[in-house]
Amino acid sequence: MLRLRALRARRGEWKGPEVNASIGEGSVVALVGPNGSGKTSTLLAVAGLLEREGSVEIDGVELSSIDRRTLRSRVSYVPEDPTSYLVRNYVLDEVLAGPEFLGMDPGEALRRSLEALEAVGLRERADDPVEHLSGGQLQRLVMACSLVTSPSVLLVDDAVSQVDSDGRKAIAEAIGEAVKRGTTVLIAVSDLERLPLRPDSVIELPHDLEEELRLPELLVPKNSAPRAILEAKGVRFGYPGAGELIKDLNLRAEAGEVIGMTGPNGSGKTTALKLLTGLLRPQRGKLLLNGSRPSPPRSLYMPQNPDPLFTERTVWGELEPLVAAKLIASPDAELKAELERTPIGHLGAGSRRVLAAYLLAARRPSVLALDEPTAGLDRRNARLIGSLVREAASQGSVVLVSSHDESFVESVSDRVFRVEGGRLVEL
Amino acid sequence: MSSEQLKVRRSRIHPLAASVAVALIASSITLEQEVLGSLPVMATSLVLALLTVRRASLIAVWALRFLPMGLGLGAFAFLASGGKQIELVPLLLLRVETMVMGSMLLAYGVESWELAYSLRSLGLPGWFSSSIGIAHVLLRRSLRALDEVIAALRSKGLIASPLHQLTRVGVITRALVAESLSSAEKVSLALEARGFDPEEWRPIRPVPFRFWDLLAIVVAASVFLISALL
Repeated sequence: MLRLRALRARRGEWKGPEVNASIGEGSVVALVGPNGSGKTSTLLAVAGLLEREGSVEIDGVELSSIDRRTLRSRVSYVPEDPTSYLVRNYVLDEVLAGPEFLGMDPGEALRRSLEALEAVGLRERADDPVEHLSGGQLQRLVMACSLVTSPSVLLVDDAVSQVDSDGRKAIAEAIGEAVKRGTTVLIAVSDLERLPLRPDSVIELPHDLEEELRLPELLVPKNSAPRAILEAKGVRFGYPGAGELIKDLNLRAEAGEVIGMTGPNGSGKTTALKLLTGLLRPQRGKLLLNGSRPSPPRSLYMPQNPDPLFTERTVWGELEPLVAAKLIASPDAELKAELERTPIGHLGAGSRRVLAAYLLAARRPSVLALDEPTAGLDRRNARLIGSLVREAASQGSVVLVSSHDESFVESVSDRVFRVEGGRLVEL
Repeated sequence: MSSEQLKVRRSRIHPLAASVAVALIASSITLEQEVLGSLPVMATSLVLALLTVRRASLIAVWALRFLPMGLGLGAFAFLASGGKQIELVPLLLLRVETMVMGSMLLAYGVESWELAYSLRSLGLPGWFSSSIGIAHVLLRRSLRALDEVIAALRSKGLIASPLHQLTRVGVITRALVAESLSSAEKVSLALEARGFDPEEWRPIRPVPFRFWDLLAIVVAASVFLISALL
């Protein structure tokens, strides 16, 4: 039994929403709220990883009175961003880390680790380097890491946003097995439809904790750029030591087109986007953007984790050069002051993703590639990304969108491809 | 399923062998005061790096990235000598490049936690051994983050040509430091979330020694002896 009484997460001056709940053994409860509503902070507070007000009790015992090692063996936290959970370089080693830290017998630790990998469909990848896994595979790996200690409370933070349908099924089954063994699951999600399994009950968080990030409108260019034509013929590529991932990539896309890409985890969607924007060089084949090799700033790529794109402290710091270059409208004094006092580090994950896409779209690239742009976003932010995609296309960019959110891909794309066997197959 | 999987070694070179070899190479190149004498040391460092890391392109990329630093230090030393010792330019360049190649044994040839396991097996305290291992994890992440940072800066037009990677070191460094700090914060939270306690931590598996590890030490020791004696 997990009991939350007047629980409020705290980060300095900021306080999260108050949560009260009694969650029975073997129950699944969804914590639902939009981006910025405090879901992550609440889960971290329940896990004892963030300051809080109120109380958290596990089987009638207050969290703060449980010794550290027991607490960690009983409460597992699965973050939304899998890279923020990883501490090792190989798949099996990563799963073994938890049992090792808790002082488990090596043989038992190995048995459990392999079982956990099997449960999330990664048993065959046990000896692979973690960096060879795709974003979705990393989320499955983190789930295995969390289940390996057979926790009594499992806290899941929207951790299936980049997982393909097979992976979601595997994760749902793995959580279902844990629930059968009596694990209590609290799973945070911005959209109930994205839950991998049916909850027994729902806790809704209020919607007005984070103000919407207001951004100046993109300006329409006065001089029309030459119409972009992106062509890939027989492109092949493989990472060192990982075999050939892209085997025969063919695509012709013209200015104003939105190309959607879907496909299972690890199929090569990210690699295809990096090739098509010139961040990776094809090992064979022809890849041309208006007759020459695509490269930034003509072709821009937003990674799954967009944080490296931010080089300034505040939102205004990022926008100022765009205003000076007349790529975006100059904000009025009130909005400018608001943007000046908004540190990027204080934005929620959803707002940061929207800002990153905006910063790239504003530069009017010939090719704009967005990698999992709606991962973890609520409907409002997903709509904003959709508008940016359409606006970039209307201003003459070829827009490439890779996502597991098939309904989003279908809604914004003119053509949709599935990345399969290292090739693009039009649907 | 087999407990043999707990005996698999991830490091291409034993972390202790790598540490000793790098220390010997660093000592050798520091002892050498002439360009001709430095060449065999650099060649040894390159061969060890190639055999351990097995990615010539990676070694070339890092050698190129440190080229300006080597030339800059050489130019500074030349000016400090009153413009009399031009040989200081190639000498310091060779020293920097030798160190870069040698460091690759540790950066890319060693698995972070096996470094911690090895130090712990020497009887060093858990907090010390694990700190070194965690520092290695962060180093590996920073090396990867550098590529992400450069790609991001290219996307924003702050790096428009390969030359900018050399001339805009300040912008790159600032972005890299921010990314590294964020990475350190994440690793710290991840360790806390998974119950890591440096005082109680015990390695879960051994890190076996192999013939190649011994050979690497012998080669590096030979170069050191030659540099010291000749």
